[in-house]
Amino acid sequence: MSPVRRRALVVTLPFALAWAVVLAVFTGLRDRLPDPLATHFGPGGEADGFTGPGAFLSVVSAVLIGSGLLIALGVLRTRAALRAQRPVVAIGYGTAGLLGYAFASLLFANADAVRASRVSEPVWQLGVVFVVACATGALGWLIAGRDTAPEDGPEGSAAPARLPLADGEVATWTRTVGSPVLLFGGVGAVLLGAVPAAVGPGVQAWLIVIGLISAAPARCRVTVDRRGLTVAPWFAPWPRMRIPLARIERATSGAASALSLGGWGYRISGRGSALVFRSGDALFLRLATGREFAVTVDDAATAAALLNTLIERERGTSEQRG
Amino acid sequence: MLFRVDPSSVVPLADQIAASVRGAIADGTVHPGERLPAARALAASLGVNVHTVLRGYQRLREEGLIELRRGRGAVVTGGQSTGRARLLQGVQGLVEEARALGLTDEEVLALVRARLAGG
Repeated sequence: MSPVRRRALVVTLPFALAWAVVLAVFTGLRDRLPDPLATHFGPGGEADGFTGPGAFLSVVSAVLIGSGLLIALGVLRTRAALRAQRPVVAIGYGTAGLLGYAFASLLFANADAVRASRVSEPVWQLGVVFVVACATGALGWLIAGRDTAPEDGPEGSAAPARLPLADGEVATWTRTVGSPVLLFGGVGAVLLGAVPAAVGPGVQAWLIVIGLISAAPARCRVTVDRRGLTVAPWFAPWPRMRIPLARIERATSGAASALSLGGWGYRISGRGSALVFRSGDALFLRLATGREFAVTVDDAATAAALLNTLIERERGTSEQRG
Repeated sequence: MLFRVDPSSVVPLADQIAASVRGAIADGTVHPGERLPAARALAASLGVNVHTVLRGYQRLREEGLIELRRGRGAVVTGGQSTGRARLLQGVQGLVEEARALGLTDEEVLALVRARLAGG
């Protein structure tokens, strides 16, 4: 089985299983279920919301299949191994367990009730739902950990790649990278802020500011040269972010999903910081401070090779001088 | 895309810059419609004069590989620029081999004409 198919199967399996379990319970209890079903319960556990069996099944199917597809799309947009996306896979498994258990226990609570209004669901079931969700989530975490990338991740490769340069030869690698998420998010926020002005109640200035701030870096130019790594908006040399060669230990490249890097935009986490435009090819830097910096950009392998070569060359000349 | 210039080479720097872009267009690293880095930024990055970069870009414009527009910078022409870049690389190779063999310009042109006439 191809890795992509296997990953799709691993990610969607819990949702399919949960769906099958709920359907099986429904079929098994069919003759003992009231119509309508009690589907919502008040704080004391007594029923206060009701749904017909047909509508209940439609909602169950839509919710389970919908969230399954959503998680699968999120995971499969990158070619990264599931290990790199463990939290998402675990959340998927937990969600499937939570929904599957909640729907099934709802059906059991309804069984043998003459009238739905008599149905009650004890509050401790909430605790059980939580435990089931955690257990299936943990299972997802373990399963995702078994799926490692064919080539080791950003940290793996023992010998960093090089790009051979002649003595005195100068090289610059440069490439633009765009972020549909930042662009649409930003434009959306600007519209949300500006549209009320046309309708009447006034402009939401803060929404426009947030929109502009997120849309402005939606396309940036990433440059690697003798000065280090530079990221700047494509239309102007400023505001720019530069990491000098002297501050970089080594560079690697690999695929990463935006979620595994902490979301879109400029992200700061315990490991370091990242500029995330989209999921996919990314350049990873190990900095002299021991922290990491990542930027998602196409052809990151060439950028990493050039950076490693330039770092080596600079270290060499500074040793000669020193 | 990767720009490489070697100041110790006999090839002029502007031609080396143009060759970098040509190669990137030919091998598909740079797509039609893509914007090249601003001349000033590239010059600072490579440590060469901005006019050197502009001379390289000008050459690419003459070859029909890029369009230069005021305020919009250098953009790779749409359509056949990938094939055109490959063709130009072929021409470059032809010229280099002919020079290495000591052929005169007229002899090279005669060879090409004969080939064209032969279909």
